[in-house]
Amino acid sequence: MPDELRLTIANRLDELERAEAEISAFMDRHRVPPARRYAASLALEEMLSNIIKYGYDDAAEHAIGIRVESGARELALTLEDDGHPFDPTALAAPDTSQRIEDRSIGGLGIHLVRRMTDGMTWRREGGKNVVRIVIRRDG
Amino acid sequence: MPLKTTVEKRRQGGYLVRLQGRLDSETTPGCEKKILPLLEEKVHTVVLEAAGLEYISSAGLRLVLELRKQMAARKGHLALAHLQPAVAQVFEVADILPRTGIFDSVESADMFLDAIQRREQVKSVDETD
Repeated sequence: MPDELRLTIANRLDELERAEAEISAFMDRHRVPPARRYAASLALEEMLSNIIKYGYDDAAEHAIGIRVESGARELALTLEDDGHPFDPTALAAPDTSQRIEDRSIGGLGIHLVRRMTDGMTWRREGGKNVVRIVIRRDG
Repeated sequence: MPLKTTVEKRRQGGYLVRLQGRLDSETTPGCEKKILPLLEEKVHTVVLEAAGLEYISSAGLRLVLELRKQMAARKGHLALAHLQPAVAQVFEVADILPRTGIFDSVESADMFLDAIQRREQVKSVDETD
């Protein structure tokens, strides 16, 4: 049974710091190698800020669930939000054939996360987006 | 860890900006307020010294891209020096900066920028002839 951390944050950007601090402490306890910590921090920040900024069609407060599981071979980060359906795995990669100046910067965060982690899945379940990101310890 | 931004004015319309800590969605707006007002008409070069930069996310990359655009608009140059491996990897994956703008030290960035400026001065002399 892998050890896990669960927390819930509100959909406000000032909640990111608390989430980062909690997960950072969890990764300390589980001796996650530095390069992998970077990937996990990046995944957390990019995915959460994306949900908070673009995920909701109203101005109400929403809860976002975060779960981090630490296994022998990998870390898994699962995020659950009740925003509108959004599948980050369906997002096209930025068009790198365009000049840097002309390129759209939208979606850059999710692109980075997909490239720097080892797997991302999305499902819609009970009115929620459930995104699971896997980070291999030796990746 | 938050971000520490140190700005140093240099000869001939240049700035050296030292970044230490994390350039993320929380710290980038403050950094932007510190750097963008520096960019007056006569600023030709900005070197970002990143030896102490431990983390950058897409929020920080957007600021670097904005800086690059503003410098390009005035025919100036932006260079990055001394990136830590993980940060360098993010730049590589994001592909928002030409590899020619990334240097292993401030000294090599300076040498490159000096060479460009000399070339441009020669060119402008040629054009006035």
